[in-house]
Amino acid sequence: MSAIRIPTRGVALPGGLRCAPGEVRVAAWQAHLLKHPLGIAAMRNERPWNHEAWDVTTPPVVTQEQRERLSGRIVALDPGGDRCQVRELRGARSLEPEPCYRCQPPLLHQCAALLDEADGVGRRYAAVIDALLAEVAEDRATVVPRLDLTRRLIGATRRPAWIEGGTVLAVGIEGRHPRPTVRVARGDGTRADFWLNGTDLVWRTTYRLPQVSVNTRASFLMDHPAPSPSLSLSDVYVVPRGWWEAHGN
Amino acid sequence: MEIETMTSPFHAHVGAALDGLRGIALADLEPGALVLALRVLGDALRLGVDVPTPALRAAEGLPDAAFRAAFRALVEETATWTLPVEPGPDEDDPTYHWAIRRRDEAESVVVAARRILVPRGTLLDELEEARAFDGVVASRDFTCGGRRGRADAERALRERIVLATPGSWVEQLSEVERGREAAGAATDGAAGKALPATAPSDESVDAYITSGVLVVWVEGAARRSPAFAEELEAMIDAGIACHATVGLTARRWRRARKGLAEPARSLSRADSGRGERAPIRFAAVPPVRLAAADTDDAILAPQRIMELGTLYPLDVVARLMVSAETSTLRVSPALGLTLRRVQLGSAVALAADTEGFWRVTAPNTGEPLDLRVEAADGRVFEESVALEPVEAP
Repeated sequence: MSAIRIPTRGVALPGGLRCAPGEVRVAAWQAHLLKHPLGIAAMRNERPWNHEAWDVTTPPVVTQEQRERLSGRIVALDPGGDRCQVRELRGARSLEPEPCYRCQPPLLHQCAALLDEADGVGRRYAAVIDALLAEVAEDRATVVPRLDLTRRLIGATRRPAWIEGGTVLAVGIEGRHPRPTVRVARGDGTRADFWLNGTDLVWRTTYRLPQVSVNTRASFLMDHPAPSPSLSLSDVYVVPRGWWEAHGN
Repeated sequence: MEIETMTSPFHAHVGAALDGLRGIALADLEPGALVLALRVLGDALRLGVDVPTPALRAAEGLPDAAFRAAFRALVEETATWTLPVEPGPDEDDPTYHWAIRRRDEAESVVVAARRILVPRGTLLDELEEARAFDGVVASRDFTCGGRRGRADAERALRERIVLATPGSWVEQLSEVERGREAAGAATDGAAGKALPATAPSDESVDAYITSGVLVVWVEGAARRSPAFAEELEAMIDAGIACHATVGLTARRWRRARKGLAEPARSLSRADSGRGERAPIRFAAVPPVRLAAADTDDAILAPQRIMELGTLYPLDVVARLMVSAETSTLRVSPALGLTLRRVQLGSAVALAADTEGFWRVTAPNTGEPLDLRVEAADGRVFEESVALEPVEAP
């Protein structure tokens, strides 16, 4: 296995945007799996491994038991004396933030075999990305003015379930060196970011931010990249049609 | 000719949010939803936008208890804010952006609460929950160990940047020097990368010494600046000499500084290395009787309370209550943090008491006591403390 394809299925989005399966290098994929579902990013920031709560998704992307088993197996890998440099798996702190990017085969491929193939964490993580995109796919979504969403979310303070069930796609510019970006956020705190090349989305990352109230969920759904007039859909949101129509029910 | 108005996309957003509030009975909202409503009002007030009279009247009709509940909800929420530890200079961490956004939205809640409460004669400081929120915010290091400054926070605010007016909380963040200016002054021992240099304020140093907060920032500054490290050591020495409150974290740093051992930064029991360190010494054990033996009115010595502060890296606050015969460790975990076990010497607690504190009491034997706190997520704080008699006055 030299690359993963994310998303696993192509998706047509409103406004002529599309997200075709794109190659993600194994090292990058492993880095994301360790950083997010396995909790290395949280641990580096002195949080519990499950701070991103990938163990409470439906289905869980990884359980505590699976994580412990996987950590033990990854730490035990030793092809040709090459050992995993993600020290957080051993309870220490790595010397660099993301050692996976410098990991060499065959260690990299043995690790991928564990995470992606044997235990299925990678497949479930990929399924979350597919599901987020499916929510805002052209055939299921509607385009709404940004201010309309603001009005509805604030007006729904007594309907937490409606807010939690929402998914919002926003287009804008993001990053220290700003680039066109597409963000898909779900009210449960799951978020996928994509680079936008013309009309093509290229997966960048998927992570979760803990949400604890109507207040944080509404804020999360409205936390979008900075609008840019030059970008299509930059002044609107894309939301699931069924969810939008359920607001009045 | 068109009239130019002072508006921004955020003005329009706030206008729509105020529209959304129309017809909502604020008094009926649960605390999390009330925080959202107060945030909208606070955004409008900070922006100088007129708040519709019905919304203002509804907020004015809220009892103090509603504000207390809202601040309780805010305090609970802060447990989810994650600020990156030692982020790289160009690292774009979404958790940082989110924490900055939440911090700024919380500021709007404070502004709205103050606007409603002060005219009725209630200062925000009078609400215990508001003070608790202040305390939590003050203990969070929004500079991420001096590596993120005002410009980074302003960038993270995106459209909310229009609220970062003079006097705002963002303005209090220092600027971080990047690149050539910082390269000569600072390097990270592990990564060899240039670090931005921001000296902690006196208040931050005091909070570190007494409460064990802002650890990454203060200890990072001490690593980068020998002069600051010397000053910090002198302040801790002075605090210990005059029996002022000096937390366990500062004492550990001082021990490492004096060359007795490396500072404890490990997250696991495997790496704690406790056995290689000299114990942390506290002059804490009071004499059995305070008064001189040749008088008849000797009284029982009071218990001495030693505030240990935050047991970094666990988000727990600890105190030792020491009598002539026994020592009691009391540990209070932050909201959202589950503990599994607390140990002092041979005494162990496996659950919190009815007040939510974890307490263990061990006899004073004159030998160092193992102090160990285990979180349910596997993280461990471990130290050895030697409790010595208080010097005679």
